[in-house]
Amino acid sequence: MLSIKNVSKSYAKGKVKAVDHISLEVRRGEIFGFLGPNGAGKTTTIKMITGVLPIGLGTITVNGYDIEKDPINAKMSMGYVPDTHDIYDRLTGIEYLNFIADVYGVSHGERKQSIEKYLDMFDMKQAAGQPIKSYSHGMKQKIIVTGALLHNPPLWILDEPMTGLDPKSAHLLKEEMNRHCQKGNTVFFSTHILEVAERLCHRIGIINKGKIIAVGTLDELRSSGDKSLESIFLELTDEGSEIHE
Amino acid sequence: MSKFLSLLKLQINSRFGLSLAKYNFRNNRKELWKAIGMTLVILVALGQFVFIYTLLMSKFHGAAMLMNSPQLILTMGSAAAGLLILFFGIFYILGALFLAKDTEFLASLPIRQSSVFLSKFILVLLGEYPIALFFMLPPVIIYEVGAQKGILYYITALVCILLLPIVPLVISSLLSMSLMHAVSRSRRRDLIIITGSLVLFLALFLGQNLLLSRMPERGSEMDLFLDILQRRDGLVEWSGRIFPPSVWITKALSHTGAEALKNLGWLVLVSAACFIPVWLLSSLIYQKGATAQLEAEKKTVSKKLTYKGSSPIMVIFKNEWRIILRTPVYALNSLIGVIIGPVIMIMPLFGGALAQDPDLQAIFALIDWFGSSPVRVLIFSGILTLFGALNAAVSSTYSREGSTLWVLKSIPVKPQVQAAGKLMAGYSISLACAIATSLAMALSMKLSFLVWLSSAALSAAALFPVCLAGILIDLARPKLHWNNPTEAIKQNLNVVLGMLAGATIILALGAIGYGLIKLQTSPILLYGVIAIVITALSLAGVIVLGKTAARVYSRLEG
Ligand SMILES: Nc1ncnc2c1ncn2[C@@H]1O[C@H](COP(=O)(O)OP(=O)(O)OP(=O)(O)O)[C@@H](O)[C@H]1O
Ligand SMILES: [Mg+2]
Repeated sequence: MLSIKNVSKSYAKGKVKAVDHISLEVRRGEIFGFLGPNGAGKTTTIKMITGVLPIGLGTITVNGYDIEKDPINAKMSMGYVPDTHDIYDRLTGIEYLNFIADVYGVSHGERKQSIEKYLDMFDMKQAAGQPIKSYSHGMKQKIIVTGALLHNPPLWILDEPMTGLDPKSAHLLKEEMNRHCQKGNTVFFSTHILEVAERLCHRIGIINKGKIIAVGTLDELRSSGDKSLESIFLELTDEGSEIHE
Repeated sequence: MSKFLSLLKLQINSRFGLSLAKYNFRNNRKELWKAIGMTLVILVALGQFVFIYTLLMSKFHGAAMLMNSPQLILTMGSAAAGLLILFFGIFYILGALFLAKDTEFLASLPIRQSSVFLSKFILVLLGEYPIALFFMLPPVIIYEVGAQKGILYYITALVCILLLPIVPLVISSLLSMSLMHAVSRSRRRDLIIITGSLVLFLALFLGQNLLLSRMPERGSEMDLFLDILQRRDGLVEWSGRIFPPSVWITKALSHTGAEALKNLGWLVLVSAACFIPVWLLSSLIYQKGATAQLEAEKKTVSKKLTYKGSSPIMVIFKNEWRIILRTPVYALNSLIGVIIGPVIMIMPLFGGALAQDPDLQAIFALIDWFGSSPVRVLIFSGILTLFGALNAAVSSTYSREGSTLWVLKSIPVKPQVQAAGKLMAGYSISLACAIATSLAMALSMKLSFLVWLSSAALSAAALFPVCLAGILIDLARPKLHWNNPTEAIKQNLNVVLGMLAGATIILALGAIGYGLIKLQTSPILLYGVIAIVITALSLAGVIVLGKTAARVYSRLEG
């Protein structure tokens, strides 16, 4: 579904690599958790997957489409929740959602159904008619998530999707991720909440200083004994920094 | 709806705040009334200029009538609009197409980059129509009243006004797109954007000057002028050579039948011929340039972190300067006066059309005639103050905070101190502009040291109340919601109001000076009175600023 081959990226032609020769395969029907310390390169990787940043080196294909060579088809296969909440303040929520639906070519019948589903789920029916300017942090996140999911794409790319969501909405989103996968679709998301990753993900990738330092199922990562994901994460990312310094 | 139309609708809606206005209309009548009141104030303020411009145009119309070419005013109006759009278009285009906040969001959508380019181009185009209308409507109406043309004329005029901004904007787009493409390959991005666009601006300016000074090689000057005066559109072609579309517009409007159609055809054809290749090019290089600005420069040399402290007022002052210098749009709009002023003053040294312009020479001769008298100093310092008042930094200082206003509100520094720091930062820019311009002026007009010093000092003093007026306006009604920084500084009415206030102060001081000179007062008394007026204005301004800052801060919402 998502294939990252030998991708590197350094910002503004700098010498430091934000992402350094990473390769990943994410399969159909899988929830893939992307973990790593602050500044490790998660957002950079995600922005390259979604076509926001040009890829420095290497290739990324989404649903069989190369994101650089065939960006429109690749983007049509994805729903993307970015790490910022910066959206058009002066539009109302429903105007924003309609715009997204137009852009992804969602028909009127479908759009009504899926927008209503998510607005109901997130309890945003009332707010949808008001300017986004008047929303709280979490409400903005809910509108962005709704926008990303409403065209029912086979691949979800979520950059820290739980930030700002209240416990109930976070729970609903997690259930939604599970349901999406069961239908044979794919979710790729970054998070700092290890419990979520532990419970939700089929496989986990850990990135540190631009390099993938571990990929696998939770069992594979626990090379020995019955360690928690937290202790695995701390051990791995700590070693990484020792090597570098 | 097609993707493109949907995108265009979104951009227009968001840029002009249509939904927000609709929402306020239903739920927040107070906001609505405030907006309506403000619009009225602005219309009245603008009304003066429309009036002056119309008056000027009808005077020109009378004069042009004597030379048998009343249509000349159409050429003048359209050339003025076209050139203004051409010179400043680069900044609009850079702001809307490359430095907007929504670049990242748009890049993640399945929309072709040429569509994004087109929607943003149209957005900028819509923003230029008020300028085109302002410059075109008065001459169009005045000419019609004289020539009695009828309805078809007005329809043609509408088409011409709609097409007028396209050629200059396409040129600006091409230049900015090439600049951003070059930038995407380099490391010192911000620096290159700032210097690059200033260089492009200057190049356009000088290029235009060159275009103007190009004399057709056709016998003696006398022959040339006879030729110009004898042919029906001789004068139009001669004046319109600075902006060729203005000739087609004039002919399309003043002729009838085939000739009018031919010129309208030219306008359409050239607009399309300019636009289409640039649009096609955008599908190749637009996105790369746009996303380049998402990447911050990373200095690979690790500089030592410094932990030096400063006083609160200096902190605010330094912070203002830093943010201006590091945000290309702010740097350009704030510092443009520092560049334009000296360039205009130096230009006559290089010869060219400006130096030979008889009107300008007459003005220089007139100024020379005053010798070193106070009149001369007053005129010079008036000009310097005018350039200093072009500074957009001071009257957008609160607007530029935008969504980060919470920082100012939450830090433990008194609003008055913050206002003082912001004022000093803005004032220092105006001052830099006035001083740089005065040096260039001294050089090209060979001023004596005394005249230079008194002009510079007088304008430095006069700029203080001018800046105060600017910051007061912005404090009273900051524009805090914007999608790209251009909206905060360039498309901010406060900047226009600030310049109007500055012009009013300069005019008032000039009137006082003129009156005193008429009364034949001694220079000492003259300067003394002006100094007192400036001091009084400044004092009043400072007091009002202190009071308002304290009061307004609590109700500002970021
Ligand atoms: N716009 C930018 N310009 C320059 N460098 C950047 C930019 N964004 C990120 N970086 C650098 O790239 C590296 C990776 O950053 P990235 O945002 O991908 O980290 P992350 O893993 O998402 O971190 P976090 O958990 O904090 O979100 C960091 O060293 C960061 O400094
Ligand atoms: Mg991140």
